[in-house]
Amino acid sequence: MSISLFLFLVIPAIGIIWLYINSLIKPRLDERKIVLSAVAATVATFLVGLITGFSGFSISLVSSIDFSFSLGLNSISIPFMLLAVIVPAIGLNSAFKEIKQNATLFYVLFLLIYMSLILLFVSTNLISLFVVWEVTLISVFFMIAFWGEEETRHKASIKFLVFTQFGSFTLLAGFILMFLYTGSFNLFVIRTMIGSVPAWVSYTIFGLVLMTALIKMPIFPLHSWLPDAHTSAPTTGSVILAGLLLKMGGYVLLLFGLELLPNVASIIQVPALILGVFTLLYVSLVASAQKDFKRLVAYSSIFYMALVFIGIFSINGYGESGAVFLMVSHGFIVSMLFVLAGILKEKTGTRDIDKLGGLAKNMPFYAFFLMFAMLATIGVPGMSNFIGEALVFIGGYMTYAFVLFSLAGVLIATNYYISAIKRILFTSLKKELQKVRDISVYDILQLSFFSMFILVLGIVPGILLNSFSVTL
Amino acid sequence: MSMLVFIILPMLIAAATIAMLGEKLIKSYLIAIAGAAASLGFSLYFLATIFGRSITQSYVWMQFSFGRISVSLTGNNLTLSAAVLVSFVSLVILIFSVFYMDKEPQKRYYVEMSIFIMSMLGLVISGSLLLFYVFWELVGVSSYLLIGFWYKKESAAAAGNKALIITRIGDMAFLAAIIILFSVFGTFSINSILSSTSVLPSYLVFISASLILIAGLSKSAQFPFYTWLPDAMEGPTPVSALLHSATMVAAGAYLLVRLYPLIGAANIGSVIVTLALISALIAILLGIYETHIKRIIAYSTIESLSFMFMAIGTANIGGAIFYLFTHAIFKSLLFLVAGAMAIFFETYDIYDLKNKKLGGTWLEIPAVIGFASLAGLPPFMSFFAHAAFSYGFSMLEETIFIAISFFTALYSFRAFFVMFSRRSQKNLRKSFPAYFSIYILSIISIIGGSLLFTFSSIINIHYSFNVFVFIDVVSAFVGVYFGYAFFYKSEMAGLRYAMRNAADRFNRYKYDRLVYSIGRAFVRLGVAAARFDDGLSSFYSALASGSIFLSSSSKKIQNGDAHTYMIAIFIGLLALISIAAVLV
Repeated sequence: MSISLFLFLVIPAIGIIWLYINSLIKPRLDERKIVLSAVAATVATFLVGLITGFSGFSISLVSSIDFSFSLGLNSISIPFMLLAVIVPAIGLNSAFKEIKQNATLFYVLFLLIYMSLILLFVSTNLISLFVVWEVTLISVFFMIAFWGEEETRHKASIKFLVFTQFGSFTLLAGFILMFLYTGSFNLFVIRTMIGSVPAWVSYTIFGLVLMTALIKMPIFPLHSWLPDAHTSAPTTGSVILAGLLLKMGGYVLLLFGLELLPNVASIIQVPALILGVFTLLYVSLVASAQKDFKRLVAYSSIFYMALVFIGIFSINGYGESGAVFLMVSHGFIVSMLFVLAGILKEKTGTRDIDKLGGLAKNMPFYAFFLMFAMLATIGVPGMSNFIGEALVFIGGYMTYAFVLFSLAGVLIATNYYISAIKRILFTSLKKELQKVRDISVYDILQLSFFSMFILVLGIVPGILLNSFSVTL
Repeated sequence: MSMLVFIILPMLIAAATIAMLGEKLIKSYLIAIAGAAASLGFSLYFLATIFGRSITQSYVWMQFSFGRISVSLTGNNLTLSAAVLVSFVSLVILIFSVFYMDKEPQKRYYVEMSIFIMSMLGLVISGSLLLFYVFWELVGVSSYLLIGFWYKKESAAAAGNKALIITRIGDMAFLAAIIILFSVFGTFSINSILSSTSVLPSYLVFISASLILIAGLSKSAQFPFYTWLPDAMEGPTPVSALLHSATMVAAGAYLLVRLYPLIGAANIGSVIVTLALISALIAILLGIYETHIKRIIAYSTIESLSFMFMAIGTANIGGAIFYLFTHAIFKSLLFLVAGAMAIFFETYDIYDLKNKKLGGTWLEIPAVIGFASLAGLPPFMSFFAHAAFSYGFSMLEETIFIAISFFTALYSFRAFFVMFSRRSQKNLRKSFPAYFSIYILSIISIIGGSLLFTFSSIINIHYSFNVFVFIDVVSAFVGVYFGYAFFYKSEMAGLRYAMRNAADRFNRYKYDRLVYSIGRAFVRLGVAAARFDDGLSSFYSALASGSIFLSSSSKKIQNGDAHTYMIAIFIGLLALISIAAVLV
């Protein structure tokens, strides 16, 4: 018996309704229990589905033009689903600690994002895809605007909204063009019809999708919403932002850019690769001057998305597989780093690297996990990023040798990460940090989950690589 | 069925077991020692059974519709004897650690050591470049952790960082090289790549060989990358002994040996020899000047590695390998002696040690053996190794080498004569782990020379005891005599000061400062880039708030009731679905 994808709409929706009912009645149940059970049910459904298989679901609104809400798997759905189901679930622990005000509303938002992210990666219709796309963005906007850091959240959330809404606008325009020239909203129908559209239309569609991806991933010079958004977002918001929202850009670029219009992609391959390599080197330099640890992680996540961009524009099997793998791997690693940055603030009251020092003495567990995440992110073999990076480099080199210059970026990343680690964890413990205590059992559990995925994917990459296929 | 992976597994299991068990149940060092002993046993067993043949065991790591990536382990005379060496030296050093690390955190130390040893064992028996790279990186990372073991010390943490970042330059070069080779051959297998190097266009041979050379130079601490090695002495002494003898630094030379057909095809032998000579020269100048015994030994490591590179540059692989083995033994011996002295007297400064009156203690004989091996004096193993690795030297190289021999003997016996010039009244405590490990290495250093005559059955090796070898030895003995006169008898003060001034003028910080200023230039570039990025960011911020003010809904977004929004979104979504359901 296969699992209907419809369940990924139903289960979180039940959670949301329950949360609302709970807020009206007395005595109130702890919101955390409700959201936890909804999330746990979703994860369980997903795990069962991985074994038994998933079945599609569709409701047609106007059947003649396929104006419908339909769900189904495409060739790259599973890795992204894994990310969407697991990462927010592990990130939930941070929310439990952090969210004190308006908890009901926060968890409603959380479940809404959770639901729409999963549905995003299994939508086979442009209509349903765009609806959940918008829901995600708006909800994340609210998350930053209401639970962000007091001083910066207003500016950061507005910036986030303007940027990403512009990205949504271009995506919508692209979708409308696809519909106008193929007569359908259905992904699979569009795929068969796209060959017959006029050249200028395919260029425009590709350009619009590329624009969305450039904003969402993000790529220079459209990246500047991201560090601000991260710095002010609550930890859970950052986990969702970096772990998943950035990947939406890569996902649409793969799905509508590369798989739909590979011939257009190959025309702009060289400038795209140059842009990717430039972004990568640029952000690694910018990151090395950051004092706020969270901001540093934010910049480093642009670095990896630039690598994904390079992988996608390699337009060969190694590059594309590497891009998908790297997105999943980075989703886990960067989320772990944001959780660690959140703990840093929670325990010491600051994320300023200059004000920290010697924490390894008081926080051995924290030090272990931070070291682990750091080594994972700089691409140490045995952990997942290495596989993705290596595949992207292989794919990139096979198309254009200059891609190997991005190895210099890895070197710069190594440098700023290890010097940040040294200043946070090593040398003698600062006087004002004497009373800092180590992380709780829940934190250890949470970080262990991330570590487990990172290690498993790094040692047996086959389990992920076999779950998707790139059509090239 | 000989599963080569059994060579690696014991250390992995040891690391996992130590990490999981507490200290109370079983001593961590027992597990680590058992692991190393098992690895040594398997290495010896496979060397005996596979002797003279070559076997490769492949595993598919990643399978795609368009290709696959496999990794493999190779067992042949070279790889298995290297595994024997690594596991043996590791075992001895782990035994010594029982003595040295007695008062330190046990668990972390032995876990990190076990991972390090595992990585090194994996590296030497890797049959595919990708797997070689994986272990190469793991060696780098675990050495970073071990060098920075005493993380509370600023200098130790900084030294760990320096080692990682400088060796990672080589790592990236290595990665680039294997990607280039993979894109041509479609495989990472070392055997397949080496057997068909002729397919490779000559510019790619040159590029990939050069990149691999960079990797080797950085790992082996050769010019221009050597600066991380002296600082790495901040780590515990058994770590230094392991890193700077059979393992980490040797990995660089081993890489070049393993891929020699490719290196040889690129015609970069003279470049290798030149860089090696520069490294040797720097090591001598720094070694004469230094007073910290571990750093003196560290400089001698740079020099010894440069001998291996000279041999590689002159296409003398057998000589390089034999010296690699020899060096591993006597260098770990020297470090263990230094470590024992540090435990007894809590100092590494040779002039402080002089005042502690070391002469006549049980450490003296091992120290003589170690320093004499360093100088390549007969009858020690090192003398025979000199005859082997200098086999391919040209006239010019021989002549330079005679001078090198003199100075090597001079600075190594300077350290010896300074430290042991005063006689001790009573002997030192003979702790079994220390005594045992130091003496076993001493014995091998004495009698190991005879191995040269049987080594040819393992690896193709040439040697000759010609007139140059004779002159070399004479030159070394002259160096020993000067050392004796300068530092034991305190004669010839004028000459001594002249020499010291020359070394002084070289000023050891100059090059180090250059390296730092390159690093600082990058930081400055980063600050400039960050400033630009902030400017870009504020520009967008202004744009964004401008556009929001233009829209009439701005006030609502700022003040509106969030619940209303959420409910609206949610109801909208439900409505959409229910309308859909009705229409269906």
